[in-house]
Amino acid sequence: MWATKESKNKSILADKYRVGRRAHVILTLALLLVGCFSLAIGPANVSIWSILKKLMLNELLTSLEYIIIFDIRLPRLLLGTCVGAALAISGAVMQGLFRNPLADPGLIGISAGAGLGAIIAIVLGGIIPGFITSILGNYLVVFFAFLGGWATTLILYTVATRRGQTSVATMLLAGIALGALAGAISGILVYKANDQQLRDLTFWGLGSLAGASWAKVTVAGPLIGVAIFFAVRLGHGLNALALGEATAAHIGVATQNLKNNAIFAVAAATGIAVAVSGGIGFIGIVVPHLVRQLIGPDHRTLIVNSGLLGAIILVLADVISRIIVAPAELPIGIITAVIGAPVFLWILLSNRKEGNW
Amino acid sequence: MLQTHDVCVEINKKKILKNIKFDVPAGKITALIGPNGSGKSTLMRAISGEISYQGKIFINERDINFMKAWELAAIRAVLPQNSSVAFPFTVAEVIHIGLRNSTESSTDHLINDALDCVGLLSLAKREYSQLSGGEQQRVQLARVLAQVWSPLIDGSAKWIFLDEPVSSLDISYQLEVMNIMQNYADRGGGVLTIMHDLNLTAMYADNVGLLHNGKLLCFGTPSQVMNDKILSEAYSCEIKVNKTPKNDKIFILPQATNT
Ligand SMILES: Nc1ncnc2c1ncn2[C@@H]1O[C@H](COP(=O)(O)OP(=O)(O)OP(=O)(O)O)[C@@H](O)[C@H]1O
Ligand SMILES: [Mg+2]
Repeated sequence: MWATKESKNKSILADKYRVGRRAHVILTLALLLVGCFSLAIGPANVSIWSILKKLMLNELLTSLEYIIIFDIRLPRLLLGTCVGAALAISGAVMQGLFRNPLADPGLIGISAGAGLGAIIAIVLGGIIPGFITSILGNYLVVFFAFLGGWATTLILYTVATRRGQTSVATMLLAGIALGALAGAISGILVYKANDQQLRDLTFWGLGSLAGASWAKVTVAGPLIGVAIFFAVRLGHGLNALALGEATAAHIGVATQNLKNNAIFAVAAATGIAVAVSGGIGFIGIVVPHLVRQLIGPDHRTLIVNSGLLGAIILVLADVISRIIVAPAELPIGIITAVIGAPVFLWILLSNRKEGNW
Repeated sequence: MLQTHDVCVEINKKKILKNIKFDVPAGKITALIGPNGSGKSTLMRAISGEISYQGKIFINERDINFMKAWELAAIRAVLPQNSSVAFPFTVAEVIHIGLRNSTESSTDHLINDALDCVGLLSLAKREYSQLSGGEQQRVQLARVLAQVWSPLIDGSAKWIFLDEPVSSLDISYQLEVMNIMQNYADRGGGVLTIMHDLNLTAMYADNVGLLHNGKLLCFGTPSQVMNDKILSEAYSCEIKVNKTPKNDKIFILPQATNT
């Protein structure tokens, strides 16, 4: 009698949380696998297996092999992992914050805002007071990208949300307006740029991991780690927020804190990703959507799983971008857009069918 | 005991509530009635700590302005007039999310019992957003009940605040839900509910507060508050209050105006 009741109760939550936790492990393994794959592939004919063999047998690597694996492919892999995770996580957090699966940092202007911040730091770096630049050092561009993303998120949230309800139409339209404005100002600044700065700037428009270097990895990696640490702790609160802001407060969530932290996490993750890789779109919308379809919407596992799957997908997209037109290279933003835009339309359609508009 | 002392609410310079003062005892059902726009939901939102107000509100002798969100969540649960759930959460998950402070094993029982209580156990794994309006309302009620499942905490009452809990229910579930409230009150909990159905109010409420234009017109037992004159004036239409011949229960028949 007791046993049957117990088992009936156990299934009531469908144990999706446990499935989500298990997915952490599976996706981590998949990421390692994809990582090896990415290290093994490239225009130069250097195979990871021959190198692993050499390492195992304690043979010396040629300097070319060393450079290709450790100075070119590895930092690129690590940067791709960081950026993919950051974009997917900021998408997941943002969708929880706006209570809508269509929110994406690229689509609603936050990446553009972060890009503007980065461009300001690069072009107007000369007129920023010296003590600020010396405090920030390598982090100057990242910090300004964060500020740009933060300001944009804050404005957007204020404009699109009334009494805890987000208007999807307002969010998308305001996002387009803010993105256009940030783009326009960025355009003006680009005119002011000198040749060296112009070269620095070109990769933003494209969105690419081609500029990967150990310097970027060491700047972005730890910061993205901090942003992820923040984001993961928002899971409980974002679940509550899904029931509406008023209800979230009624069940004991300090909603203002939650919103501030979520906006901070989104701006930090997006800002850093944009600062090191430009505007790579659609990861933030496609990845959380896939995870929700596969495992369910529970933010306690959604955020980490999105981060892992985002890293996997971006690393794979990077591999494709390197081999599809080899020896040339396609900007990765094109690949993510080709995959992402149809998914976005799909979500839009199914959202409309459910009458969420 | 739930007490309000001269509560005033102003939104956009407009006075929505004016000097609301009443004491609501625990262990009883207290109903708030009044025409559309009279301020019932606003009053409930003030009592729930959702909006700012002038005056004072005490729950169990504690000023709610000095209580944290989680402290309030432990002693009162709120059913809003409208609620939506974003993302494809299941019914069981919606209730689970409402129980932030419970331990894993008892949580399952709680969700089970709460859903059983509103007759929705069979829908536990269904997606919330695919339920009918009435089913969603009952899920939300189950969530509220689960949050404050045992009506007493260290001898003092827990509270449920319900904004039109039966508005989209069929007649049998209306009675079912009123019985749930009755049961909660009988076991010592406090129940404050906004009602539009005057007959159900007369049948179940121990106290009735009538709001009109942001003022509390009167507060008392159903037979004190619900008479022809007061109701007709408050709702600006002719209302006839009758008594059943057998046991003097109040019932109300709206009078058609064009015949
Ligand atoms: N956020 C707001 N901004 C402006 N006016 C508001 C706001 N909230 C409520 N009001 C106004 O306050 C008055 C009371 O609203 P309230 O929702 O409390 O009415 P109610 O008694 O619950 O009505 P109903 O029976 O229709 O639910 C209404 O005139 C409404 O327009
Ligand atoms: Mg109302």
